[in-house]
Amino acid sequence: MEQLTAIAMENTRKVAGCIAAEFLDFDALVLAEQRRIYRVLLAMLRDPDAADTLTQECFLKAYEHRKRFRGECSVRTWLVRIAVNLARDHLKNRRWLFWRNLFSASDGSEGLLEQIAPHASPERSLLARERLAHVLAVVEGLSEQQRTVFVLRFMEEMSIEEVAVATSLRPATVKTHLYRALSAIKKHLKERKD
Amino acid sequence: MSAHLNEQQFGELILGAGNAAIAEHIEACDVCRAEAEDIRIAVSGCRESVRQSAERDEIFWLRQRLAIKQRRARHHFAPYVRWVATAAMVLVVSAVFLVTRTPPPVQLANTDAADEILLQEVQGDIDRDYPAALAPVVLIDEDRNAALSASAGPSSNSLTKKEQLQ
Repeated sequence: MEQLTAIAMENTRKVAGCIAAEFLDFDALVLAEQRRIYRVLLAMLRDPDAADTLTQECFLKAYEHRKRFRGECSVRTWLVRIAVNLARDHLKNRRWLFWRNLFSASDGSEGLLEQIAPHASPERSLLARERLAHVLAVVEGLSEQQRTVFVLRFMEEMSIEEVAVATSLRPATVKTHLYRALSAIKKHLKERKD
Repeated sequence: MSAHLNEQQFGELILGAGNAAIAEHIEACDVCRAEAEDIRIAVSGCRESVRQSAERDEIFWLRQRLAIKQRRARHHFAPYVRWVATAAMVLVVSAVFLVTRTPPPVQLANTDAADEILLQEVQGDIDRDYPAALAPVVLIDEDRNAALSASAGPSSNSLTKKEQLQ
């Protein structure tokens, strides 16, 4: 029993040491994760300025609450969780719609559709852009939770467990949201084909 | 599995969690296979476009890192700044209170009244036949005179109070 306790304490010390080491060089953590966090926020908000501001907020919150981090998940998943919560608050406050500015020429994110199939023929490129625009429109119509899990799973290629931690949902619930999102996209693609 | 894949089976297939029965169905069913392929292409297109749209030049990332660093430094000193600001505020409020506070006005009317009372007391003392401190002696003397008068009869003359005091 004493041995088990000693092992558990040693493991706890090791985990605490790893966490401390990760936060010790906070600048390195920012350097490693800033692109990912910005991408998640941009995908959720479709507003480059808000994504930039909230990326900064995300790292500040992480630094502020670093003592609360207990190493139950990876630091990057924890950061994504903070980013998702910030994005949700932002959407609630501003009542902005997901990818509302998708077709707007002045939002600075026009590259989203411009860069689809850049080397294809104009006709194929146009078709690909149209198809993608419609898929994105379907994603836009999903509920907030479905959109969030869709972005994290398919855009960021996080595992179901990581998405569950980042969104504070159960893995089964994450799967259900993903199934529904995929079903909506499938239905839309089928309608377009018909 | 004769019918097409349902929502859950389709989701499991796309998520890479499909079982043998689903794999078998996909091998046999052209419709489901084509739909799965369409979805994979659509999702992949979404992913690539989002990643490309989030690409920024190195100056953008450098500026963002600097902003985070500056805000972190400000946050680090924020508690001390708050304490200093609070202390400064208390000092300013105290100074303003001390400077603006005026001494209570002199109560002239009360002073006059006190003087009047004192004068009345002095006048009363002057008018008195004997000093106030000798009042008990006078009373004792009056009692003694009364007793003497009673014992000597009505012919004996008693001294006046003034004479006794003199």
